[in-house]
Amino acid sequence: MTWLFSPVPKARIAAFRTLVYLFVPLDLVFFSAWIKSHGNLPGNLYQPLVVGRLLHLPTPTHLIVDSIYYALIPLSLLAATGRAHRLLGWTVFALYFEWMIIAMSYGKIDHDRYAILVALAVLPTAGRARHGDQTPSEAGGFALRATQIAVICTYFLASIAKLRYGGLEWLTGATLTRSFIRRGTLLAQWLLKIPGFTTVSQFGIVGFELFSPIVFFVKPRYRYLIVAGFYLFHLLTFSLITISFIPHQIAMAAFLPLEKVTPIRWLKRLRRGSADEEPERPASAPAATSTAAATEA
Amino acid sequence: MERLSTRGRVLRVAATLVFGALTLAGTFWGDDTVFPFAPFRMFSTADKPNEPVLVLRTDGIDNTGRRLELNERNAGVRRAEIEAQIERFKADPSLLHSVQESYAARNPGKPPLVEVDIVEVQHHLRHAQPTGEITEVVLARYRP
Repeated sequence: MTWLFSPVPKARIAAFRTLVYLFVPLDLVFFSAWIKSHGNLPGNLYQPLVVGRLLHLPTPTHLIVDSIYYALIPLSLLAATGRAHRLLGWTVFALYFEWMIIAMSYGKIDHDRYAILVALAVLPTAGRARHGDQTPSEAGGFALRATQIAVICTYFLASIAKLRYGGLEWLTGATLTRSFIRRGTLLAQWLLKIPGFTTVSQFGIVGFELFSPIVFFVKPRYRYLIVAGFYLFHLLTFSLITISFIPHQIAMAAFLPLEKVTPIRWLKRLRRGSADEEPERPASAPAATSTAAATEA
Repeated sequence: MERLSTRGRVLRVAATLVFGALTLAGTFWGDDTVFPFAPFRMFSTADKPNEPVLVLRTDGIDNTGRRLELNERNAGVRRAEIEAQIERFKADPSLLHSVQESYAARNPGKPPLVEVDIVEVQHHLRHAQPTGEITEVVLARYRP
C-alpha cells in the first residue's frame, strides 16, 4: 500500500500542476477547438451519456458552451500558478469534466481523456506545493501515482477492448491498413507498400499495450526508457495517422522528474550570463531578475 | 516529509478502488454511454483482411466539364459528415444542392457546378495488404 503513497518532492507537484492547468486552455482553444462548435448543433443531435442523465445535465446550448469556455480559460490559468489549489482545482475539474461530457455526447467517444481527467481530479488533493520545494509529500505521491495508473489503464484496457470488440482476428485484420488508407500521411502510404508491415505493427501494438504495466516493476532507469518508448509510439502514430493523443501525453508527464525542468531559472541564468558580459547594465536589470524569481516561487 | 493521516489514506484507497472497479466494469460490460468509464475502443474493431476499404469522396463537375474533388476548404464538405448521412443522400440526391450552393458561395467567379457526385472508392485488399486495385462507384448523383 505504501507504493500508492510513495512520496515525491512538492516541486514535482507544482510543476505537474502548472503543466496540466496550462494544457487546459490550450486544449480548449487549439487542440480540441471542435468541441466549442457543439454549442451550435441542434439539440436533437445530443445523445446524453449516463453521467449526463444521472447528474441531470442540461442539453448544451450556445450560452452553456460559451460560459464554460470563457470561465475555464482564466480559471485554469489561475490554477496554473498553484494558488488556491483546492478551490481552483475542483472548479477546473468540474468545468473540464462537463466540457468532456459536451464533447462526447454527440456519438463519438475518444479515449485519450481518461488520464487527464484523473490528473485533474487528484491534483486538488495533492496539497500546497511551491516550485523548487524539495520536501517529500505523500499526498503529492498519491496524485502522481493515480495519474500514472490511469495512463497505464488506458493502454492495458485498450488491448482488452480490442479483444472484446475485434477478437483475436484484430491481430491479423486490416484495422491499421484501413486507417492508413483513410487518413494516412505520405509516410503511412509509403509504409503500406511493405508487405506485412501493418500486421506486424498490430501484434506490436497489442504486445506493448498488454505489457505496459511492467513500467511499475522496473528500476527508474528502465522506467524512463519505457516512458520514452510510450512517447515515441505517440510520435509515430501522429506521423502516420495524425492522431495526437495529446491529453494523454500531458498526463503521462506524471512519470517524469518534472521538478528538474525549471525554465524560469534557466532564463534567469541566461540573463545573468548576458549581464556578466555587459557590466555597465542599467540599475533596473536586477529588479527584472528578481521579478522572474518571484514568479517562479 | 509531509505524511498523510490514516483518514486521508483510507479515503484515497477507497476512491482508487471504486474508480478502478468502475473502469474495469466499463471495459468488460459497458459501452460508449458510460464515459468516462467507457471501453477504450478506438480502433478496436477488426476489419476484414480481404474486404475492400471504403472511402467516400465528393466530386463536383463544373460547366466546362472539369471534375474536381470537393472538400472542407472549397465546399465546406467534411467526409465524416457525408459518411454519417450517406443513406439520406442515396435516398434523396437533391439534398446535395446545398453542396453545390456552398461551392458557389465560396468560389465566386469560378464556373458553377452542374453535377455533384458522392463516389465510393473501394481499395481492394488481400491479406490486409492493398492490391493496388481501386473501384469507384457513384452512390448519389445530383444534377440540378
